[in-house]
Amino acid sequence: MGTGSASAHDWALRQLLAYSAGLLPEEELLRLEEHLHACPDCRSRLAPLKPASGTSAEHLPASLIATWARSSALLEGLERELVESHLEDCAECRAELSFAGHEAVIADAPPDRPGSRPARPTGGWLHSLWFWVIGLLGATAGVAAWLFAAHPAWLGGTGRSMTALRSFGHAVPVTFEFALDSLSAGAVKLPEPGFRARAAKPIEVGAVTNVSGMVFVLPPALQPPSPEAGERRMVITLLQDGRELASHTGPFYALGDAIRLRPEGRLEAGDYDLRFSLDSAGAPGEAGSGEPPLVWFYRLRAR
Amino acid sequence: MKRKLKSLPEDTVEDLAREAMVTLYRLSRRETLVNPDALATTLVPPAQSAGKEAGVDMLELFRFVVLEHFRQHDAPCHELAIEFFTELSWSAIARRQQLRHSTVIKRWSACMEQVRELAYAQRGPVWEWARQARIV
Repeated sequence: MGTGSASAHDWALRQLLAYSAGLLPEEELLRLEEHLHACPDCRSRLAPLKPASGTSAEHLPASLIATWARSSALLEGLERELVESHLEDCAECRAELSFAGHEAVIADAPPDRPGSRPARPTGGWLHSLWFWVIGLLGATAGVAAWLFAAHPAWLGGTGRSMTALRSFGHAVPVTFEFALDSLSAGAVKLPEPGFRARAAKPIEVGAVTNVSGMVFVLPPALQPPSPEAGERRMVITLLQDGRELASHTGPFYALGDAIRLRPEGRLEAGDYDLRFSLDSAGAPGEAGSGEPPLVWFYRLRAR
Repeated sequence: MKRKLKSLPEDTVEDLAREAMVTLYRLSRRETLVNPDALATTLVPPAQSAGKEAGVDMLELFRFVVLEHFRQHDAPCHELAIEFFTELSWSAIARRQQLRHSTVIKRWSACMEQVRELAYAQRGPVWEWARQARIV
């Protein structure tokens, strides 16, 4: 980490989310608060992370209440229990749910979610849980296994790759371009994984042609946190109605800040899924650590 | 709101409008609303940013779950967490409690360790989000 003011500022910006969640390590807290004291830009970026005036983090978030029917169904384990017990005790939250037209009962988990699995006392659930939590909407573990079996190639480090597609029975080339300038015209910023990043919320990508393609600026979750993580295998797949249209396999680090998918012709109007699948910590091509891959899904809507 | 948020998908706008209504309702139960229309307008920019930064929702949910856990299991941590999540400034809390900045931070560090352990042991979107965002 640099000591110059610009790098100190960049460092501070990267810490704001952890800080606002109360999770910044002790040794960094003092440093960040000193920086915040002197930096109006960081303070202004921190302000939206504060609870809205007059509201309290002690009650169910308004965003959860507003989307209760589908969001509460995603809660699992301890978080589900905590929400449930809070509802029993909190007449205010029950009244707010009623106002929003919901019963104060947590919706059942989706039938395809493995709700009966016990939690393990390690971080190993990260991969499989995200697979379910982000919604998957139609994808199955079998599909994941098939994708890996179908795309074992390790294309290591190339900025572009051509992939043969299986679209409507015809092979159609699509180019994947990586490490683009995140300020590319028409770039769509992919959100961090969250309730609003689910496939139920399509991201409008407009008309997609071989001239424009689709440019996506990647959120921090889709950028390697360390050089070791950067070496892990990332498979990017474009799907329509659960069918694979295009896929690219390469190292995580090669993605850079932004990527482009460029079809040979115009992409047919409709909904597509963009799937990012990151290998577990095992070495590329090996059986890995036995953990399933970490999976992100985004639903795209092309005109 | 729909006019101001027209760049977002329709169902996202619907969610955000509903969220703003819940917030208005919540505020109206705690204090008299002098000008609800103006207040609704002030809710649009945060909603707009929420539409762009989906993580904010998860941050709110994360804070709620942490607070609820402490409410049930650790009163001192609960008190500190409420203050911090409201104000987002340990130095302000230290001043109010007339304690050294480092003392308050040290006390919170023990609480934070509990949260970290939960985040690595528990399943569900809240903990998953925290791990994904690399804040634990």
